[in-house]
Amino acid sequence: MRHLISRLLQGMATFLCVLIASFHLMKVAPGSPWSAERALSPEAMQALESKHAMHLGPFLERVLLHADFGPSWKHPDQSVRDILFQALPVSLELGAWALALALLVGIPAGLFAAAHAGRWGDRLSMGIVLVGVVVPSFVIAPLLQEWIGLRIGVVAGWEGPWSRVLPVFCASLATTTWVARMLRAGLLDVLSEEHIRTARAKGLSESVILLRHALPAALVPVVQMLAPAAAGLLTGTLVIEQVFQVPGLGRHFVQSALQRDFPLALGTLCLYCLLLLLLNALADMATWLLDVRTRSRP
Amino acid sequence: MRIPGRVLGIGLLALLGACTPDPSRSATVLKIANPAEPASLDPALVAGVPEVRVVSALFEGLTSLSGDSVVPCHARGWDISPDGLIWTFHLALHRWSDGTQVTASEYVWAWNRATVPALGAAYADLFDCMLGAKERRKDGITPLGARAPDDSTLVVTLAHPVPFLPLLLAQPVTFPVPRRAVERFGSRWTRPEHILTNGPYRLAWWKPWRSILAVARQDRGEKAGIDSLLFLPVEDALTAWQMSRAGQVDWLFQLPLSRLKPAQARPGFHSTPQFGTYFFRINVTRKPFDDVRVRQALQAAMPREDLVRYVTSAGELPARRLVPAIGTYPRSDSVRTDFVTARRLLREAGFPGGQGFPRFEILFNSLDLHRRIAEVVARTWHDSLGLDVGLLNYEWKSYLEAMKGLDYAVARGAWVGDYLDPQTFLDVFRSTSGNNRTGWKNAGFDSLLDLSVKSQGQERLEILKQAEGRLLEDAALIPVYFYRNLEWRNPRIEGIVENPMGLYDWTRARWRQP
Amino acid sequence: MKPRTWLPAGLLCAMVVLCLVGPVFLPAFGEQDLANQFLPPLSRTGSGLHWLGTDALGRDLLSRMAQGGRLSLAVALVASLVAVVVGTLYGAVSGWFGGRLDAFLMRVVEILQSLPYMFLVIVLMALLGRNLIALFAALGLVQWLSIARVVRAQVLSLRSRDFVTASRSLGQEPWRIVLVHVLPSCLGVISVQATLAIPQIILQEAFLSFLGLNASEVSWGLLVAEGAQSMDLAPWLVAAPGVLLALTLGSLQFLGEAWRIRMDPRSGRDQ
Repeated sequence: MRHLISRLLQGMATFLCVLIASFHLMKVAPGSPWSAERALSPEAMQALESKHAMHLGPFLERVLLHADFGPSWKHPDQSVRDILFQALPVSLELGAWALALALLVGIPAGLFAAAHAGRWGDRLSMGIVLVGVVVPSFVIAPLLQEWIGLRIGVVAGWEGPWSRVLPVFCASLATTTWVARMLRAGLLDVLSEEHIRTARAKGLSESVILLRHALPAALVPVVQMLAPAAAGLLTGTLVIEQVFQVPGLGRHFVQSALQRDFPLALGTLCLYCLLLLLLNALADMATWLLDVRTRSRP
Repeated sequence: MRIPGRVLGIGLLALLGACTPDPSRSATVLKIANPAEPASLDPALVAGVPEVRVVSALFEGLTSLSGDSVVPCHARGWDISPDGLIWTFHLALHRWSDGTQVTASEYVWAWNRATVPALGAAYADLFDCMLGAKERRKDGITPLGARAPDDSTLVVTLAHPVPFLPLLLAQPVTFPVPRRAVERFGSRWTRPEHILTNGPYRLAWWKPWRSILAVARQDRGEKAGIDSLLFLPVEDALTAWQMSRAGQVDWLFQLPLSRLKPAQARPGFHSTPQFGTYFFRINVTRKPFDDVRVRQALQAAMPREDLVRYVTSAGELPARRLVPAIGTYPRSDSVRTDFVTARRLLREAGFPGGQGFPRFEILFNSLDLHRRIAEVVARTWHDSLGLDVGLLNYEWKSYLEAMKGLDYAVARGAWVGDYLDPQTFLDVFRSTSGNNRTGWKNAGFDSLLDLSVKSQGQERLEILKQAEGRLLEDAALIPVYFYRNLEWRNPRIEGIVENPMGLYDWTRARWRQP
Repeated sequence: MKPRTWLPAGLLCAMVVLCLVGPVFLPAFGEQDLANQFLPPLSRTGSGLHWLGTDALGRDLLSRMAQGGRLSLAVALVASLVAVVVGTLYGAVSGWFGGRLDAFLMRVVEILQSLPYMFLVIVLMALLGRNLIALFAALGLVQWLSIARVVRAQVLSLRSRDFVTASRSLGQEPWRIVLVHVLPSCLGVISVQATLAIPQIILQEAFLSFLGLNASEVSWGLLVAEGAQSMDLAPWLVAAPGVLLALTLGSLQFLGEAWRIRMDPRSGRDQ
């Protein structure tokens, strides 16, 4: 309990630091949110800048107490909160599916490869999952549209169940690779340890050793790596959202920075930061549960 | 692992929620791929083509464009005083979508609103010809030279005669806005639940980054030919193209370079000249580009023909002048691609064979096409003039910042006309213009532009041509090619009149009866 | 040595050699030839044989890959090396000492992970200029963070194990225990992290060039990104650099594996 509270306090302090640091980072970024191919008059620029001037104190107060970021600068008809709350469910759904798929494929692949370490089964499965990191999504996504999208009649968009297929698959690829490879490496690290040898000597079957004795410890690095990866997945990826026209959060991360749309950028940042802190805390808790031995530490 | 189970549950729930009727599957809805999510649906805040496409379905102004000519719209007609300064518009009876009349005083209010600096309307300078507009855009107080003696009469006083005023009045920034809604809801007045429209369509929904549905208004005399327009923000050109093949999109305005060949062979492909020019700016304040011979040498050594043939390759025409072909405006075509002359000019400027010429970079904003063009240009200047040329790729805002601060040597640029008149191109290079960005200031050029407003008809165009000639001779910019509108639209759509600005009157579109 | 070791090592060496001396003997290096754009592999023109064809501007693809490899390999190796060293040390310190220090160090990692990366890069460019140092900094800045977290978790779980407690009771110095006993047990995970980070860095570099870092140098990431634009017109433009990327990654992984087996003192099995 005390651990939880201290973790919560730490999280709040971290969040505050991120907020303040980002606020200043955005202030020093060159370029104006109001510049455009057709330049505004200097008077209009000045008027807009003073109208939208941001000061740290009032800003923090609005954000922390009211969760209010004001209207977006690039999209003045919409408030940042509206934009985020419309995009968040989409990103969460896409990310959750992709994460589930990555684990469903990555964990068995990692187990399989570790069980067949050094043999062809290992090489083959690891070779296949390699595709996920080497082939970037901006290459695989158009190919999927051509090969599959045109067949099922849904190339892009976010209407109806079929529209989920391609983006979810694409988004899961890289994470699948990471999960499979990290799990395999973790398993191999664990399998060479004393207690596994003891288990082997006792005559336990290889699959029991793998699943009961090695897997929990081998999941530690996977879970640790998964926290930031999941935060990334759940908040969307630009390429996948653009190619498949998914109305998610990922584009706002990039576009708000490119457009210097500070309220929107800070809004997306807050969401991401909170999610990351939560997932990191969860990962640490999972690690603690997975690794019984750490409980005995002073 | 517990996570997958929970995640699966969430996913299934979401999947059930997603099974709602989908208008993009309906055959009578016209599905339009807009290259970006509109930044705003406020006519005064329209900043680019993606916004104009939607706004022109929802709102209309005193005049409208039909192909490349201007026709009366809300204004039945107008009288012009003999000195050309006072225009009296007679308004037809138009109604907002809540049934109230669109009054002349709403125009006056909307125009005064659009010219206040703090609104930040990108096109506010289009009002500059009206009396008091320039002052109002500075101080925000001076009233505009427009008044409404009664609900259906609008009197506009100009600062100087402008023969193309009706063209300006077809621009969204001059459209009326519903004063009640704007005053009540502030910047959120364009949300579907608050908005009032005066155009052929009303806003049924606006789901940001998903779709905008505009439904034809039933309460208007002449009804639009197509009942519903669905605007989809499709940022990726290849995606838009594939969506059109899958039947998810009926109309797209951007074609991926790599699919040009199959697109051209497909029924429904259209390629028409656009009122826009691709060019390079030269920073005339930087040595050695302050020497006009150096700039002329670069201008002459621009491989225009190669670029349109091998790089843009969609039938673009190489540009030998700034202003694209328009009406009876005389074409000057004074710029020639001539490497011999270019070498001679460079030698005369003191850099025989490029010797002693400092290394410089070509600045461009992030886009594959810009990179390719810059690479060809850099190579050509290296091979033909012996110059050491590098590339400089900035993201959009840094690129604008660098140009504004004249922190570049040569930069890629472009201009698409705001209205169909050469003036919209030439005004860019006035010494006081914020869009000039070259440091080039020429009193003769400015005074020719000032002179042109005092004359009429062909005489005015001749003066403008003279000004353009001076600009090109001083080589502050290097024209490269004229843009084209490339689009594909479902062959079942008919009644479309093409327009060099790529803007359409949606009411004319209709489905061909099978 | 076994083929498992020398094959990938040889492949990597070949790649490095190609990148270093390739531009000297390959035909028409960097030369544009617009009339010969999008030639398929093994086409012959006046300037020689194009093994992998030509790109949108008629440049020899193999030459461009050789040239691009210089930047990409340098960036990937330096950035991932820095990331691994910094990440491992940071994670080990955090995990070994635990307690308040651990909490503090991990919160710092979280702050760095949450900072808006795009703004970071944009500001970095403004401060350092658009040069290779800024590029290395922008790439290295994020890669070490997840390594640090993983290593820290491993160390945390290892430090209470028997062999560590044993060394401790023998009075060995902490840094010796970490270096000799604890870190080798994390090698597998670290080597996977490092090898998977390399292709990411190479592709990330293409994204940064979109932002305006590195505007003029060609790189593998840029070639893949450019090739993707004309994928259906000339599939080899994306396939060739893509395969090269895959080969690099595969070789590095095999080497990483071999290295892990050699270094792990407890590894009895030869996997």
